[in-house]
Amino acid sequence: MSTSHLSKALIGGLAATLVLAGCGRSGTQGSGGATGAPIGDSPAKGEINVWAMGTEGERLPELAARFRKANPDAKVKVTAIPWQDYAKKVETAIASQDTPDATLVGSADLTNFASTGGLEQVPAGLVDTSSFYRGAAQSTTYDGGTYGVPWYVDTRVLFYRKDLARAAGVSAPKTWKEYGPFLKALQKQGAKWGLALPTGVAASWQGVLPFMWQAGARLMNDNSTKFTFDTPQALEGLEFYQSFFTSKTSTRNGAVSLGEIEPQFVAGSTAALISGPWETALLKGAGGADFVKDKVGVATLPKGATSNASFIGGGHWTVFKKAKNRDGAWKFIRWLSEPDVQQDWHELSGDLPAVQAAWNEGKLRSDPTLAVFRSQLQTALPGPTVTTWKQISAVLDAEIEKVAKGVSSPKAALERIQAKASAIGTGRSR
Amino acid sequence: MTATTTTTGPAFRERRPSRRVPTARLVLYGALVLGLLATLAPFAWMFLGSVKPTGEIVAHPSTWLPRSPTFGNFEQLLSKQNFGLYFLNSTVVAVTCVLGNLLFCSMAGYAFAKIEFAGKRLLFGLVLTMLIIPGVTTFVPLFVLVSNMGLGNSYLGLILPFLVTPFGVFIMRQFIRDIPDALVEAARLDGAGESRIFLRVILPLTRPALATLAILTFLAQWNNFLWPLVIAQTEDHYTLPVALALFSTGANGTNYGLLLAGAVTVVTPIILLFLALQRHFIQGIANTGIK
Repeated sequence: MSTSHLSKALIGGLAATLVLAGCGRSGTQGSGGATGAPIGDSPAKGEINVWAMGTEGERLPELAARFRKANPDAKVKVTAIPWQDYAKKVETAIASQDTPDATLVGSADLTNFASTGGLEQVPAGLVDTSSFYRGAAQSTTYDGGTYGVPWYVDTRVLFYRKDLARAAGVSAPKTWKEYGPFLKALQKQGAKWGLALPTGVAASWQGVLPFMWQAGARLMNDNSTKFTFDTPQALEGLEFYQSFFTSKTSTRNGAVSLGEIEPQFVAGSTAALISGPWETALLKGAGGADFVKDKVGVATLPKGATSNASFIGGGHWTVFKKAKNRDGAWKFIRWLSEPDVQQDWHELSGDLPAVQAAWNEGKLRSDPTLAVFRSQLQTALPGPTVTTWKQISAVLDAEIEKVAKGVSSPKAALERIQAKASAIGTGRSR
Repeated sequence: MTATTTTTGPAFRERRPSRRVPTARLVLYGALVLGLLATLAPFAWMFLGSVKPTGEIVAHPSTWLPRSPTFGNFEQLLSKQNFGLYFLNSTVVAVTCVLGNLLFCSMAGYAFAKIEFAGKRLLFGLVLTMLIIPGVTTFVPLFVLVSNMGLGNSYLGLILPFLVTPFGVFIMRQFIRDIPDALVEAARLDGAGESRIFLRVILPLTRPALATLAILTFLAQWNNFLWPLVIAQTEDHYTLPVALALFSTGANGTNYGLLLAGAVTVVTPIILLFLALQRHFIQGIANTGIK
């Protein structure tokens, strides 16, 4: 009896909800539109509310205090936000139109935020786009507009066991041809695996696209309307990726979680890995400062047929359309991209400057490890800047795993990637 | 010889059935102990890990016991600015939500269970529907609503959406339905008003259900991450899970020592609360489960 009561009540409730749901808003705001008024040279005024994530959010107030010297009437208020699920926070802020003035965003997420129509385009003449690393500037564009100003960058390079290489009498590989023999030589010195490659984890694609780029592949056509995964160059890259597994240089069951690979690298069971500037701190945590000093070598990625392109990430500054202090926010961002401010920030946070000119002085110029990153940044590229990239990269991750595990040929995998990517599309109506 | 066989005989026979029970028991207890170990192992790892230096936590092969125990992680955690405030925020939000749920869910549950009024079935249907609709689908609309009410960066914004939950109304209604109508009628004949019946007759009888509701609500609010993250516009409104994510999880790496120390800090109050309400909690589950 109580069940029939319940079900009747439930049906009534559902019906009422459906009626209510029918009244919901439909359609999304369009993107695009022209850039706003240019930003003048007078000092910034008023309160500037900005969001910054993680360590950046914790350290930024110190840098922002220096902004005040040149702009005594402005006050930058920084809210530190966790990186975890920050995208949800930005999206809900845009949806409710209750936003701060500016926010830091991960370079890979900018496209999605821009597509909601909640971000303002960078005003014409605010910054010189060519002063940034090309790959960083490239990831600030969406649908023909520029929505962000690069702040810091990161890119992946080769970390290897210097001591094993020395014992084997080999030096870091410069080309694909030297890559395999170098890793095999390290394995002969007792490492079970030569190189840790991502497979079977989210964002494996970040480790695999560089192989395709290095072979000369371009994954979209010139005006970013179509995907081009089905090229001989992409195939060459994916085949090269697979060769690490078939030659037993890399394990098919690669590290799956953050922090898993470092102990293996310290123990010497894995001789090399590809990672970003944050890796040094992680290795120090796992193996100590002496381990990093004596046993860790850093080198740019080996060059394929065309280049040694790596993946570029980092953080961009964006301003919300609903910003209350638009003028102040853009002035703050312009200030952040001045070379000497970028240097100050590097000293405070360790983040690598997105502005190339910032690297011409001090430690950024002289430090040998930083020099490797600097050289790698010249050719580093972002993933395609389309709103559907999350879906397409999930397809890539799945197909990459099949290739690594040897259950699919690289050619068949690329055909499936191309077919699915084309079906998903670029997220634009045109 | 014969004497010994006659004496051991019956004793043997007697022992046999009594020995079979222990074997079955042994297997049962063995399985339970295994289950217990499997459940406790992650907690043990968390507590032990929180007093290890980071290098030891990620070390491979790993060890259970810390080789060089340290309270460095806790010191680091407590040295973070405002940590006390985040703890207070979490407590205020969780306790207020618990009190709200205890009061309002039992009031609504009482009305649905014992009072006849027009539209009761439709209203209860809506409550059930809210149980079915996944929270993620209403997340953004709820945020827009709360933000338009001007509660974007306030304790009220953190608390209000969870002050009454459909789940709470549902379990209270189910529990109160089982209280005999005769009790309510007797109270009414004695001249008690609805509020008096509710406070003096219904509430004391629903203690197990209230305990269950209290624990579940506290747990949900104490661990809630996404809502406080989104609703708090300044750091002084962060709750523990949000602050913990801010300090320990970077874009490209995690400070495991800090994370584990934080987890210990977050989990300890819950364990204490559960131990305090354990008896009621299990009784409550059993009662609502029978329904």
